[in-house]
Amino acid sequence: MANLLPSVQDILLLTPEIIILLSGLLILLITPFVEPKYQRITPSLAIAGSLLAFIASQSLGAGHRVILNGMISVSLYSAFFQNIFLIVNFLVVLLSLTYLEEEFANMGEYYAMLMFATLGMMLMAASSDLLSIFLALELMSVSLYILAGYFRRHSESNEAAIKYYLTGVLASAFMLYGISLIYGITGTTNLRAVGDFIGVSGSLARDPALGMAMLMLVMGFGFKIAAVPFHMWLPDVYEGSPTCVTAFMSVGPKAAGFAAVLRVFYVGLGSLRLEWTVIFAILSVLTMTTGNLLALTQKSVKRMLAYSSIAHAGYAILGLTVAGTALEGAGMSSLLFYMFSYLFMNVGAFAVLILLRKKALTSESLDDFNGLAQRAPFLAFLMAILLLSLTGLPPTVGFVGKFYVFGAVIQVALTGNGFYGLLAVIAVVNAAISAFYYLRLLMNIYLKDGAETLTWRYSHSLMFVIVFSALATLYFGIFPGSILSLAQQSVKILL
Amino acid sequence: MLTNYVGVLFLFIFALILPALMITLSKIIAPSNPSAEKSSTYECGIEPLGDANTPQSMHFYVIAILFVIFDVETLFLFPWAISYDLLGIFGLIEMIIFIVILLVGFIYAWKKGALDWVS
Repeated sequence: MANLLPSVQDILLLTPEIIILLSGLLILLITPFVEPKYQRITPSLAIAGSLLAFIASQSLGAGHRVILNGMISVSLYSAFFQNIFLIVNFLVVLLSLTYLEEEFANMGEYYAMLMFATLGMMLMAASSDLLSIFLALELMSVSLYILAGYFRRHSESNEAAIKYYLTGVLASAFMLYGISLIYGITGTTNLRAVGDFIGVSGSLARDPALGMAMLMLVMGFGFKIAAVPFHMWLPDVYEGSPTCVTAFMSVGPKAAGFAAVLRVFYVGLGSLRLEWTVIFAILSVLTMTTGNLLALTQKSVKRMLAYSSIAHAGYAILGLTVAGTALEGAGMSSLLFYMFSYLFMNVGAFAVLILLRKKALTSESLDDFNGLAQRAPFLAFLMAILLLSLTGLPPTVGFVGKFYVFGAVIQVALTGNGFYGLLAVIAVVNAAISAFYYLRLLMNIYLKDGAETLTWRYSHSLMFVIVFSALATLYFGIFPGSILSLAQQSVKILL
Repeated sequence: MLTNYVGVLFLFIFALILPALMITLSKIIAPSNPSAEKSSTYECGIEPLGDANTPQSMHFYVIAILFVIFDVETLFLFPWAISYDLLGIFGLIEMIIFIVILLVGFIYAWKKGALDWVS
């Protein structure tokens, strides 16, 4: 029984998570007690919490420790993802401030749920056991279901919440079934132990029950990262949710999903890599192509960004397929970098949608942005940077992210694997298709004339988020070295 | 390896056939002559008083969720109490953290008026 006891050092490794948990609880506790005119105290607490946790996670050091009976492994890998989540949390709190006040929905519960969702994502990235991954996933998902339906007076928001909930529960059921099959076969849920068990008994890798378990896990995680054909919930949920929640959902849960997928499939099911690389390759082709082709036909900017986020998940899955080959390190680090690059450009683009929006909750169409450059040259310039980054053009971080993912695929192709050559060609064609709809919006902004149809909702915090995202997009596009080497070091603990 | 799963396959086929058989057989064998009296809602033999689809107060659901808070609390307190001597001070601290987190939710619900019956 003595081994149950975690030491003080082990608990201290969880400082960022504990800070986020405490700030979430504190926000929930004081929410009913604060007067409406002091309502801004809760977002301030949320910002303070995420900043403190960010500082704490920087000071943890580079060591790799498995704690709490193998449930949690604290390492550079988990720290890399936790930094992504904390930055998203910080930016989204700033985005929500004035947006919620204008919609008369600025309540502490929103920030508490945001903190709990962030906690779930952080634990998910640090989990090294199927059970703790599942628990963290549920903590994240349940908070997000509530956030999606946060504008409870709007039917779209309700629709988003119920759709997200039903598909999310279905995905969780699949995932649990897969986990239970794996437990039945190997007698453990610890990912390292599962991997060792399957690796030692060579014949087990051909076991149909194990194949079934793998498919179940692919389906469960496929829903969470919105890979086609498990994507059908995404456009409606992203469009119906409050825009600040959409910005959060399009980055955080996706990165958390990829963090867990990489661990589960690479560490736990490493012996089945021949099978899952093929599955993920097919998923990635379907996801990229469907996302891009459907984004082409969208009239609403928010819905277009929703479909484009499906396409971006497709590019990221490419990194996953490379992780199953001999160049596993390159594949995984390119996936990590892609998640990091996606963070700034996407949050920034949604921030522009919050700054410039219609009076009602209806979506802003592409034509509403006509002639924006004449009316607001600075904002148009920032939006141009973000759109160029989403397209994947230099000198932005989106280009570097795509460059390393595609580069990893091409490297595998150069070792004589024609299948990956085909993948690379499809990916590049897809990037070209995506250029059409991003640049069409850019063309509307710069080349067309149009009257003001959107309402300006300027606030300093919103402008800060947009400028910050655009600057980060440019900075890491020109100097990607530090993050890239961090990503390469992070994945070493999985190798 | 696949031969190990022949039993599962047979069970699967059996599970498909059996309910289909039962449903079709009861369709064929059972006599069917419905009347207005027969197809009306059964309410313990009394005449139905009205539609059951009436709006319910949201408060019932809030109370149900509050019940779950305490239910889960006891659910975890019992096993801890039984193996208290094994878990020692570590278990005590764990349970205190657990109860404090639940308590925050409870204070929130209380202050929000979830316990006031008429509002």
